Amino acid sequence: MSADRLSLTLAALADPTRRAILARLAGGEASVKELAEPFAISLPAVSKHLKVLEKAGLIVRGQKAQWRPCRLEAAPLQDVAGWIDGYRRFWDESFDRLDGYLQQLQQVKSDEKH
Amino acid sequence: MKNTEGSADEAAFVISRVVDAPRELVWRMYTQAEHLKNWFGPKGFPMTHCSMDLRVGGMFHYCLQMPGGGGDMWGRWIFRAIEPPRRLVTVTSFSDAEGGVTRHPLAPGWPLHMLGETLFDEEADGKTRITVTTTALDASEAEIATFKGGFASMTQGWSGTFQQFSDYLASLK
Repeated sequence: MSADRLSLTLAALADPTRRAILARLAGGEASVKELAEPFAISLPAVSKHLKVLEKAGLIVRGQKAQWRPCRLEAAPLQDVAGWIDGYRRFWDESFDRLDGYLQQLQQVKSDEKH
Repeated sequence: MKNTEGSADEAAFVISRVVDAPRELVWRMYTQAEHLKNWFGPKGFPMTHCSMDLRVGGMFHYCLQMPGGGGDMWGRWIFRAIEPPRRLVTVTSFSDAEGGVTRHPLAPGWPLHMLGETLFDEEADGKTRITVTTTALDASEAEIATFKGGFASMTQGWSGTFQQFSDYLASLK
């Protein structure tokens, strides 16, 4: 199966360390060393996570500076946000409609009694 | 989310809502085509097909018309357990018009089948709590990762990150 982008992005987000890295990067760009600081894991382990995030297009690594800062990439996260929104909307609005429909049915029922 | 409560752990997604109606009535809303047509799906997504075969192994097959000429969205439930008026277990999938299983239209790496358990619990004042727990079913490791990432993205803490991220983006412009 070919890995489509949204699936790739979602899979990258499945890991809590990677989500924490992205949360950190939402505050601005950072070096690998800075990103590793809050975690009890080695630099190579952080680099591995960064590779997954990079492959999913969630971050880009600077080419010029020697410390190759990481920064968040907007588009895939926006796709995910849109997808989440759609899912939530599906159930939220379905339940809203169910609620309204139930009121309507019970109103008719109580009218019939009178 | 407005009224619907949601939570997620690594492998299951749970949504819950209390409606002001007795449990038997809510059960009928979930299991009868004439009622499902009137509420299932977001606003502006009319149900254009609805067939219901309420027995274990039977299928609820539906089509929602997406707004703005967005096309048809077919889906199906296969019933695994039917315990009126308390519990409904379904295998949920995207579908074609013939009832065959299809991939998630936006994320083909999503699991083909999801297991949905819906519980109807009686609350005070004749109200009913609906709780839907969704897990991936017969999924590959890659599909489970996609599923986890999707639902992990909905947890409170992580949603906060999206907000932070939007603010960050806005600050760049």
